[in-house]
Amino acid sequence: MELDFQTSVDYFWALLPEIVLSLWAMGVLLADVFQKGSRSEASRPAIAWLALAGIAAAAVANVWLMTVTGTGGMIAVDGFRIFANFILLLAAALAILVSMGYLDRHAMNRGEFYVLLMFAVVGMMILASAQDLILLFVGLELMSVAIYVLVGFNRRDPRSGEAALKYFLLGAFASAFLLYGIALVFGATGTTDLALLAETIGTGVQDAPLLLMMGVGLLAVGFAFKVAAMPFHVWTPDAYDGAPTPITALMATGVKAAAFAALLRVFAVSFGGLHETWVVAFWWLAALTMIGANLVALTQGSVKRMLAYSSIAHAGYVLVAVVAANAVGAAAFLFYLLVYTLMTAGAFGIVIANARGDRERVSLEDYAGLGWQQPVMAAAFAIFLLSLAGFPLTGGFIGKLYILRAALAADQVPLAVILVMASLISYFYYLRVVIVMYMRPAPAADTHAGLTASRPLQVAVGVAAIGVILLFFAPAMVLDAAQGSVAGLFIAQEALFGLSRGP
Amino acid sequence: MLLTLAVIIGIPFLIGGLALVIPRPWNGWLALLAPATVIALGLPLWMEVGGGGEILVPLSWFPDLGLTADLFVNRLGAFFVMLIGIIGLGIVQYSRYYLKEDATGWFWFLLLSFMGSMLGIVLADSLLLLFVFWELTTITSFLLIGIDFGKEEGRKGALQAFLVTGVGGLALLVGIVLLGQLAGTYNLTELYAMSGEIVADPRHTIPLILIFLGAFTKSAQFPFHFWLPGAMAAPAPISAYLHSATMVKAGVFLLGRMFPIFSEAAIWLPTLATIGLITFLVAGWNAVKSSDLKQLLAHSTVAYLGVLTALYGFYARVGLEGELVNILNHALYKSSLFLLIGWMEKAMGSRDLAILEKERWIGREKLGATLIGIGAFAMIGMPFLLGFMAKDTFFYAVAEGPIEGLTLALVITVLASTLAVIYALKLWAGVFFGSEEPPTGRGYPRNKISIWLLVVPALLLLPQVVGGVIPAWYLGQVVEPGTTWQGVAFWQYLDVKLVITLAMLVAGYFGYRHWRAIAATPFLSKLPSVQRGGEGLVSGTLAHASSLSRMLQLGGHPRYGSIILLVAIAVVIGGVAFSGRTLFDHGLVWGPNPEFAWFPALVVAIAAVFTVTLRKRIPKAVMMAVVGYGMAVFYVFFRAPDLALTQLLVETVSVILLLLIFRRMPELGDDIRSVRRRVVHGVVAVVVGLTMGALAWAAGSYHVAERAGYEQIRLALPIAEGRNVVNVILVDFRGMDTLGEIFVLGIAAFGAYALFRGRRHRPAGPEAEEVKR
Repeated sequence: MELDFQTSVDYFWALLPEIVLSLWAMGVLLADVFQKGSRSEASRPAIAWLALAGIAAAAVANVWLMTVTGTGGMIAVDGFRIFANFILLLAAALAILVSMGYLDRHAMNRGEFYVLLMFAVVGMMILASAQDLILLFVGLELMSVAIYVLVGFNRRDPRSGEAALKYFLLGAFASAFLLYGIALVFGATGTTDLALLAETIGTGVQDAPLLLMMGVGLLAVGFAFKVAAMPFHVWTPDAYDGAPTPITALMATGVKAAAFAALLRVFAVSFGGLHETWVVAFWWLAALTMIGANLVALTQGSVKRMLAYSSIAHAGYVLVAVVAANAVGAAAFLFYLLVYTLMTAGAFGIVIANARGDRERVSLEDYAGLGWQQPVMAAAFAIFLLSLAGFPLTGGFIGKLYILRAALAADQVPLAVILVMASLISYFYYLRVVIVMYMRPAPAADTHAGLTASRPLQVAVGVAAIGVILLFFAPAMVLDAAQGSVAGLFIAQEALFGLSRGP
Repeated sequence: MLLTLAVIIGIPFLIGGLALVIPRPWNGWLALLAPATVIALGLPLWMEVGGGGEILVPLSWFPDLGLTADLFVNRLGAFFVMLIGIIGLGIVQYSRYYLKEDATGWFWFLLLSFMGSMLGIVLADSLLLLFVFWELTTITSFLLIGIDFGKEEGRKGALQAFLVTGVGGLALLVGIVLLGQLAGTYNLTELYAMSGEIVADPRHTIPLILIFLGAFTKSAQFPFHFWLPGAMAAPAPISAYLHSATMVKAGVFLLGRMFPIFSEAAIWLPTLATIGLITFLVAGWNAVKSSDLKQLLAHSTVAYLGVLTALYGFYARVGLEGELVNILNHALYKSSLFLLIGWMEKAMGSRDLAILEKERWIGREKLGATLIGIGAFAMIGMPFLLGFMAKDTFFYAVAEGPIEGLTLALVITVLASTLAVIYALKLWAGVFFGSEEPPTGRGYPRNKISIWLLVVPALLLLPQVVGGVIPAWYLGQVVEPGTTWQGVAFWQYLDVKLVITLAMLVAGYFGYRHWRAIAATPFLSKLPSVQRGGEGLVSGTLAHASSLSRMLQLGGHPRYGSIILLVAIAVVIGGVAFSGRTLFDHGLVWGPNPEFAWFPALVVAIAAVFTVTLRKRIPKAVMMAVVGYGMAVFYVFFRAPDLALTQLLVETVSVILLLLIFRRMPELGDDIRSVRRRVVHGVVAVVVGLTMGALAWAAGSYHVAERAGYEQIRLALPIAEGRNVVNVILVDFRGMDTLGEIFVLGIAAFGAYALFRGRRHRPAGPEAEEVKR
């Protein structure tokens, strides 16, 4: 199908996955209301499965979108968006699966949880596909508002409320910066359309009005906040730590991936002509994030908090791919986001599983001897941790190798060195958990008996673990798709600016 | 051929996996099958390429990323396959009797996976594939060292070994990627073909240094030599296999793989000769100092790895044969000695020389004493043992090698070899002939142990003797199949070198008699330790990390907000400074009615100050409303009455809502912030406000902006038939965005509802039952 966005119907088709998901979410809300007797009653398990079905339906619509081409609208219809959408839907599906037992244990199994989660995903998808700065902002807000609520969803836990408040207040700053940046960019160029922006700006950094540069800077600040790059990460550990763990997983994967997708689209495509200037900013962000986050992660005693810092550190690695800003970098970027989503969601899944009742056992000591009493669970966790560290036999290795190559192809040698040094630091804290699991005896023979890993959670963790391994042994399928999906994104850029594809 | 190679690499992994599910003792029997298969398949391979052929088997993995899984066998690779297989067979058999019930499925899995990974290293053609297996050996060895869980020492040693080899692994990865970037390929066979071009390019130095780092950390070369003795907490067969026969040789193997590419590089020979010889000397000294016999063996292993590294520097002189003789010699005698120390520990209850030497076990343990004696003599390099040939080759390489006239190298070699005599004698004579002190009378703790603990090392030592007695035939078979070994024979020249050799032996014996006195020499015992430096680095990093963590993460959102705002402002100000322009290049624009605007501006400013400083909620809310109403007045000045009306409406509704909420909330307490904090917050607020204000002001003076606005105004009537341009933009030009915003508002309302919804529901499931009871 060809879409030229001359009529509104084209927008309907272009937004089909988002529309399917929104309508489905409302359906879930209605079903929840009708199926339970009183307001205070917990929702039925079927609600979660219904939500999952909605994610699947959106994925089907996304598959259909592959057959569609579109140009000129506010919505991008390209491989990049489709690939990003799959990552986001995957993150959502994993989050729903790990939520199922969790919500019951924490006495917050209410249908709204899934509905809000689905709306957040709609926001993420719009964010990743917006071809216009205003629509991008709408997507961002839709995602953020839903996530603010979800972070504070556990009303019995004051930390959850505190996390939500902090995230909301600081997130408001970030939104303000982003909006201000959009306004300045519009003022300087007279357009908010990403493709037109690229044309208007052209290649002349020298001629670019200062106003435009300020706008670009403020946009960078807003995005850096959302992807949790240092020093805009300050909210992250508290918000990740306080939020219900499935939401932490979603924030670390989906929210970050969506913000990154938008960031790449805006900066590499629209502001490609200003490459020389913004690369400096992202260079520093990436370097600071990689070094700082890894150092601070070293000192964490809580595994959940360590994973929060780990997700910040990984934002730094992805930023390296952004700095590379060539086609290799963009493909590396997509591949890494996929691997990262799988391994991070899986790792948080284990954090959820290592719990008794509503008490999560997140300290390092709580993992002692897990390798012998819960071999499958510990093996899965070891796979995720090794993948996060970037070891062979896991997709994390291929992803990091890919980013490393992109950085070297773009002659970013110092950044590549920092990436490697940072990975080295990260070995220490990832491996520490593995050591504790396998080499420190459990306090008692039944310390880890009867952990509450629900069946859906097992499925999620299993899928993630198999995915992480598969991405090592057969990366070709996904890498081809990733390269194919960024090809279109960069053709114009390459013609315009002669950015290298790398070897 | 692909099948053969795939089976060689795959069978240990496969059997290792099976061992996880098959119960003891069957999994131990099964484990024997893995090295046996490797030998059976490796032997024809060795016969085929040992004389100098090459086999390349292409295998696709992901070509676009330069990832191929091509396999490659040449003489060096096939030699290592046989070495890994044969020593592996001995180790598996020994482990079955040594570990007994400790040989769990997990142990077999790790050991065999390690074996498979080593085979992968030596058969990989793609350097990236080699790296993958390289890291796998790091992980599996890490887990194998720490397998004795519960022991703090084992954990620490495992972690240290892991971190050091991990650093090296990362350096290696970057080196490989840079080399690939330089040459356009990761495949060894292709790299060999273009070695001339690579060495001619001055950029080859950095990747080479990084690859050196990888090899040196893996092979425990100075200054990374400390991790290997630290890893000795592992059981004897693990130490024998990983830390003498195979894994630590991976670094040496890598040098062998790099040799055809970089042999002409300027830094090749000096680096390897220097590092290798320093390691030989320093580790030899450490071995002399050791009282724990396993530590002694560990240090002596490091020393020999120094020899092997240095030999690659002098490679051109002695060729691959010289290197292979030395690798074979070391693998055979050192793994046997490790296994014999394991036997000794079981049989005599100790491996500490201070205890053992008082007992003079020679009368009791003739077989064990003979075997350890053969091993120790091989270590010294006595005639009629393979060790003699090996040491001879090394001396020849150093003395007659390409750096002729560099007597320092020869002096170091002689000195370090004398040290080797000392510690070899400690190992053998010290234990079995003992000191001159009378026996302690400590009873002989003869434990009932399997004869296999002696048979396996005996079988491994057999080639030492055969090779020593009939060297030409033997080396022709095992170093260069189908030929008679020409080799080198330093000993043929019976001149001054013979005198040196004899002097070394005498000095060594004297040194052995007085080793404690030598080791206690104050000057020598204070040699700088890189390990302490490394530990200092780690603890220093941790300390800095915690202070960084405290700095960033203590405090609530005011601090977080300050950080974010200040950095954002720094981006803006830095951007202006970077561009070398000022914000007001286009002059200052004061707006339409500057003469009236000062009044609402003043009101807004004063009200803003009060909003912050007042201590009660309701007046705060009112002052905030004043700010908003002041803004509305501004809109009127800018001729936007509908915007002003909207602003008034929003402000009114907000203030009413706030007042309603505040009635139900407790009054604010006193400001608990310190004066310093208040000042800091005030400064942050003023800086941010002024910067953003300046930005807004500057934005108004840019004429580019007019184009955008006029376009909308021009089109409003003809296209959308609306006179209110704002409305046209909202519902027509940007209708999609408005729809989206409505959607966002809806979600916000829904979210608020979800949060504020009255009662919480009762917990479900088993917990609910408990609550009811």
